[in-house]
Amino acid sequence: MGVTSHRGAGRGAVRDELRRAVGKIAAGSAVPVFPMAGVGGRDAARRIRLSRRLEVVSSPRAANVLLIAGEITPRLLRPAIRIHDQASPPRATLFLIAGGAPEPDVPSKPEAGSNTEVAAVESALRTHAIRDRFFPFAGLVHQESEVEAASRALHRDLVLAERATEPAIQPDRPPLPWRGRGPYGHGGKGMTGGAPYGRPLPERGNDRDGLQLDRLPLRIGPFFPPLVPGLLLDVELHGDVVQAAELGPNPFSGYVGASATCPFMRALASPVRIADLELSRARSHLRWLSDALHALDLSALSIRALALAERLEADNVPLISAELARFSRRLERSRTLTWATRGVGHIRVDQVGDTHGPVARATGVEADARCDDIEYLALGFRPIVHDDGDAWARWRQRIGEARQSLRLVTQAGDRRSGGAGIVEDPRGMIRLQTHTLDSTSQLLPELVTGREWGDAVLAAVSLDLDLERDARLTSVIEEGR
Amino acid sequence: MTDVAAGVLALGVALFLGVYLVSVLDRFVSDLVAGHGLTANVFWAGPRRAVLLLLQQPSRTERPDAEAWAFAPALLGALGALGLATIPLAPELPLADNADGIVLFGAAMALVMVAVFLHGWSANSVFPLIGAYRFVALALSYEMPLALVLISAALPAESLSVGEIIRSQTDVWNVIRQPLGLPIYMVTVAGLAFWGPLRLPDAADLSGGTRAEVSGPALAAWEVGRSMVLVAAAAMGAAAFLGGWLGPWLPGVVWMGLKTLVLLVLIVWSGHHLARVRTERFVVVAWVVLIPLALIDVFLSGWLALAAR
Amino acid sequence: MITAGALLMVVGTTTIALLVLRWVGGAVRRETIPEPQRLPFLGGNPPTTHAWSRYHIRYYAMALLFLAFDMEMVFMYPWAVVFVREGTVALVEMLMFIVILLLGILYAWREGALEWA
Repeated sequence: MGVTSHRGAGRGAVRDELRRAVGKIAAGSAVPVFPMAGVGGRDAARRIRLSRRLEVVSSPRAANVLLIAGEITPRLLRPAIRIHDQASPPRATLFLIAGGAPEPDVPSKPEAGSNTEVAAVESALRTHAIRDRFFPFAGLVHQESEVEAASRALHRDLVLAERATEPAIQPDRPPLPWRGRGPYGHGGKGMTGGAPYGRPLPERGNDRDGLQLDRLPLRIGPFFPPLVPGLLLDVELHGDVVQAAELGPNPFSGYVGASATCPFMRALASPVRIADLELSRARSHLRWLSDALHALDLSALSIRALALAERLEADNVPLISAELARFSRRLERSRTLTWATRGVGHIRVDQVGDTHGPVARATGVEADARCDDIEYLALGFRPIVHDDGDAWARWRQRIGEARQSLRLVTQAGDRRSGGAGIVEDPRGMIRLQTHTLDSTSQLLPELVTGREWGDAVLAAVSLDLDLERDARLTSVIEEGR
Repeated sequence: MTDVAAGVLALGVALFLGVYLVSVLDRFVSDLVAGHGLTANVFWAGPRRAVLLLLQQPSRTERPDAEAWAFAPALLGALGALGLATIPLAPELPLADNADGIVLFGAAMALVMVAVFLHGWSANSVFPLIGAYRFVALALSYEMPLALVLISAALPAESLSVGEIIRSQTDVWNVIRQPLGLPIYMVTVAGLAFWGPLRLPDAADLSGGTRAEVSGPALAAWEVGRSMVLVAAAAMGAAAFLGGWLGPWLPGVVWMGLKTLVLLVLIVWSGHHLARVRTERFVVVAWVVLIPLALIDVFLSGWLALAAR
Repeated sequence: MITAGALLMVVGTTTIALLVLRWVGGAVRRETIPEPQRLPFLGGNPPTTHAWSRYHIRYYAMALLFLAFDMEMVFMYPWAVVFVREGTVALVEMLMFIVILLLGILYAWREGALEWA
């Protein structure tokens, strides 16, 4: 008896040693991270691509660490919990609560007691409350610079089994009561009857080819990696074709105030250096480029583009400008890139409506608030316009505008622009106290309907949506009233 | 019998080395393109990730076809191994240099479609399912050019055996006398291993496609199986177009390995430089451009073979 | 016969090796998988129905075209072996056959069978 237990203990010790040795090898691997961006967390969530020690994965199944950056609004909470529970053990969650990452060109901290600071503290408190209530086991950092080290520590502890994997937050219950008989749920009403695993089989609907076929009604998002964070898209798929599409509610609305950290929002009220505005614009376009390359499975090039955006500062503009010129020549010569994007997501001029910015200019509409600005005109500014109106035109539009912005930075000196209540930000015109809203996101359903899913995603990516900006514009209008 | 055992062993070693090499190359090119510095990490990243995946729990969806899901990666790898087995890696190691080598290779590569389809189908989830059907469209399009360029390579050899095809290139390699062959073949290799511009079933727009619901060891097996197919296809390219083991000074196996490596570098490089193409556009290009070009290749090669008689 | 046996061995060994690889993880951690972990991934929302469905394969015309060419392939393998022995006759015969099939592709292309979305 004693001998057996001794031998058992010995075997257990050997197994633990083996487990530790294997764990040590695994701990040296890059950490598979699935990022989820809430309010103000999008840039931080994107920047983890730059770290060699972290590896962004496209599905929570393959992730070890789930990064929740920024505030989780009520509409994002359930999806975040579901994704947490979908991740395969061992898993750990890391919260980044600092109101996300501020734009690097923030001029000064908002004064204590200002509306902005109060809003930021409120937002952080709400996220802390969510973490305490639903993710009490999760890790927490306050600075973006700590994310890499914290993720690696979580990862190491998980694979060495020094930290228990996080349990599921939702109860262990099937989604709907079992109605059928047998493992496949047969034996209910009708041919297939029942509801295998608590979900009905698809119903049939009219296809555009005049056939009666199964339709899959789905709500995609808000954390679907190829689409922008927060985008809820209600689609009906027939095979791989989007039969109908509708935008879901904006999960950010009501949770973003008029941010004083954004130079374009500041320029609404008072003059801001043109160099600051244009640097910010170039960064925004390069970040979009990084996302768009990522959606085309060019993750290494996407890191290159993002590194350009994040390295860009006022003092290295010529260097970045030269690198960007080389990079853009390479992209514009790429035959497969034109194959992937030409003719995709085509917008007609009559569809442009209330859409501004690069999307409108890539459709041939020469609308740019900078055209009415005497300071910009003095710099010889003329907007870039493409006529094609497809995704490829929008690619060239944004790359061209990023290069143009860098040229303007070198020329602008100390010139200032703004204060007139109208500003051209990277996505279009914003105005103080009007009710003309940017409607780029409203274009989306029309663009994806009738398209193959891959084309639909590339069309969505080419619009460079920002749902936080949409929510912020709405809140500006409401403040103005 | 010992010959056969040695052949099987050599095949195992070749597959293992090939899969490891693909992981190193992929990491190397990726780091280079991303602008990261190069470190010794390229050699360890693949194995470390494999061990990490072994420690992860395999996932399961609500009502999956569990058996088919488990079988799909194994089938993919087995097809890669079978494809490589048809290729004599050196004249002294003829494991299965049977008379119908390229027929068998073509058959194995045709079944890749089944493996990928099962992998996407079994999860009972929308995006893997779309990836699965997408791959069928892709496979039906690259299948013909693949078989046609291999048949052109067989014409001067008057045999379907891969060994004979290599021996027929003693004077001049097929890459020179059939200039259309290798470029068309490389496009079909990208399709076979759904690599780079033809990474359609596992694409980012499907959030990982057929692998979106896969985790842990199953994901590792899938990656390994895919690399095996890539290695087999690259080795066949080296044998059919670059003269296989033929070459001065070095032993035949080394030449075979080097030529395979060149083709692997090409494919892996393309994976980090060329954007994923649209499924439909590839289908049109495959049928309207690649197949006619491959047929021209067949007739030109045939004409040259007759002239050389 | 020996080669066939060897090939079977190769296929069998690889299949078993990858299946074992897949199940190794299951052996390391044997917990049952709770229900919320089984939800298919759609970016945070649950699906309303099963994904398995009567999927509209819009490229069916292309698949039929493939069948025609696949039959042609069956003729081409033996043709390749005897080609040099038979000489120009074999070349001309196959050329005629192929041209007829190519006309089929052109027709299908014109009818839009290769594009579906």
